[in-house]
Amino acid sequence: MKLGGYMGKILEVDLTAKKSRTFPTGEDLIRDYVGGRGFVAKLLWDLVPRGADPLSPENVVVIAPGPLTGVFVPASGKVHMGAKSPATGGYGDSNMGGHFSPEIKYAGYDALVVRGKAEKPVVLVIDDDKVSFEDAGDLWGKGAITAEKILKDRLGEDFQIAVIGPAGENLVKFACISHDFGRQAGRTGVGAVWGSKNLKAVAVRGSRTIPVAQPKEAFSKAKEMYKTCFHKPGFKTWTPYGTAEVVDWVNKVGAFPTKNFSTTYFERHNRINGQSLKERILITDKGCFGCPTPCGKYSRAQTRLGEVLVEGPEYETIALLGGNVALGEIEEVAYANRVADELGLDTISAGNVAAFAIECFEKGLLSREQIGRNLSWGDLESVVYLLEKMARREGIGDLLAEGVKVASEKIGGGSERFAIHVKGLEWSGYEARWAPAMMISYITCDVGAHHNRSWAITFDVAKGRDSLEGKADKAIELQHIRPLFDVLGLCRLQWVEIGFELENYAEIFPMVTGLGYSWEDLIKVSERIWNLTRAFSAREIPGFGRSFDYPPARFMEEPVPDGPAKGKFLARESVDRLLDDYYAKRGWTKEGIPTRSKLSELGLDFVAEELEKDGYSI
Amino acid sequence: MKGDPAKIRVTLSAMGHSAQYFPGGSGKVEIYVTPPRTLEGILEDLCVAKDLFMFALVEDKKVGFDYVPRDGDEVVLVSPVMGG
Ligand code: SF4
Repeated sequence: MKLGGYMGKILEVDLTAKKSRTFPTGEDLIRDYVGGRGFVAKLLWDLVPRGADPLSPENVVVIAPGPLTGVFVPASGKVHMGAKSPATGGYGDSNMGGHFSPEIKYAGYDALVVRGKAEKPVVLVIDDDKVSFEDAGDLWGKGAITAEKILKDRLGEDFQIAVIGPAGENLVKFACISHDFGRQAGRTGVGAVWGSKNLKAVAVRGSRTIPVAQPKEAFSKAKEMYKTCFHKPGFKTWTPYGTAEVVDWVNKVGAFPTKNFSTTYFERHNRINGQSLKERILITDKGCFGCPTPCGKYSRAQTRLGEVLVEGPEYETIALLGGNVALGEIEEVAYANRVADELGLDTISAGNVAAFAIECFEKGLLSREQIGRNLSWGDLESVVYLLEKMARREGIGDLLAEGVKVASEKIGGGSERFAIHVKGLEWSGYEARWAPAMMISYITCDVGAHHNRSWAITFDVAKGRDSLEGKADKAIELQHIRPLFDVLGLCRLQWVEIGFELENYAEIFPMVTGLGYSWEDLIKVSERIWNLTRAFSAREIPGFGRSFDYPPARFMEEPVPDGPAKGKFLARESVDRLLDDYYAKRGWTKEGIPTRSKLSELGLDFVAEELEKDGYSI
Repeated sequence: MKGDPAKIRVTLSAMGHSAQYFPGGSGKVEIYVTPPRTLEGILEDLCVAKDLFMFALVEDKKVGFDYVPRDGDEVVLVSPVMGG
């Protein structure tokens, strides 16, 4: 049977030679990795030369929709973007919504691979089969949102555009890729990789139809899926506020990043919560391709620094550019959000870095002279100043642009204790000193301290927040389910937020693709990818293993000083117990490297051979 | 207990991922309680942590965990938003 959901070819672009070619989407690639995140992981494994500098022309960018992207499955507009990460030196990827992903399929491709480095800044323009390299000299230095608008005016509204801002151009290790004036592939510094290739933007337009294996059945199932979404009780409560809804709850359970994660309860949380957003700054809702539950919030905010229009702020931005730097008004958070978006900074990492700098200043580890001004908590000017400096690598910004890990190593003075990251990636919006399942989720996440692979605080609440039992199992279960959405090219929020049943996806997948995979088969694919991304980091980072999986000392040694989690911390022995349990359940060595037998079971013998060559005893 | 005139009937349904932690994992229970009993008290009786939910809805209106259900109320408990 002819496969549906796939366009049959991958576009490979060489920026150095200004040439492109296509190659068929391999049957093995589809069978074992399915699409999206799976294609990113496998193509990076195959194409990135061992030991490549992430910011050199040798690094490879892979951009991949999933097999369900762009057909009529609800919320099927997600794209996965990957490269060897300049933030961690290991496997890096990030996911983005909007309308970019379906357009890649309409142009005829299952993935884009970008290699080399353009001599001068370029926009890669993909118009169905036609691939061109347009001069981006006049766009270099322009903000991400501004540049996207110029390109829309220049190329036409029907082009979908992904673009970097000054942070990407200046190789800031947490630069993001921006699209649709407020959607980002934020994490792991993928924007810096684009910058290192002189790639300002990718513009795509397509006119093809995506084949579907059983169109009648798939269409009727998709219709039923939309209907079910609209009738879920959560539909009415979740959509008006989006992710900002959860701010009060995260404070209530003592997990809200506050003042560089020094504490976990922000007393002004009710000034930056979903209700504040809705009542004070919201203009309208905005959604990605085919989304029944638009969580994007388009806002207008007035502050003493001026007025901004911004998509957001969503929860992560409120946590990291709100509580974590102690900005206590939603308008201020929206302002900082807009500044970061235009500069092309990941708001999660940027909020961490700004908070780290403020704490260093407070503790006398960075002086006024080094910084160029005084810094204080809850001060919008301080935050905006730091964002500008880091994005442009000016003054202290040059050091901060490296991220908290490198900055703390250079600053010293014990600042490593409060550099909040894992593997070099700054921590996202849930503090985990009193949430062991969330802690093991964060520290074992394949890209660094990110919540999106496994979010497990309610499991901690349900099973006991001091207990370690079963926490590793839960993290593993979620680390297979949640990234599967990134494989399929779908948004997972309909499942996680409004309780849309997983069975729906299992049912529609074979109808669209013609692949007779059960849900369990797909979970196995997800496990294969998880082991491959771990192995990628092991291959690329000398001495990789257990020592890379610890949280910052603050979380293991400093009791939370106040709020609902007062007195709580997760001692190193407990972290070790969690890691032992996790590695054993995964079939990894005590050092956290996939064993040969686990790799064989997953059809990854070629990976085992590489790891053995590297001297890992597996 | 059904049939006991001193008791009222309350239906609790959990919306979102916390539903799995309801008794039986079904996310829905119908119970008979002796009034007045707060929502928090009812959840305690069921051994369900109230922190598993952000808030509750009765007839589409937000209520706190100090809400005292009336006979026949259908209470929807909303799970925390997890984000991306
Ligand atoms: S729920 Fe939000 S992120 Fe997901 S598809 Fe809809 S608008 Fe996009």
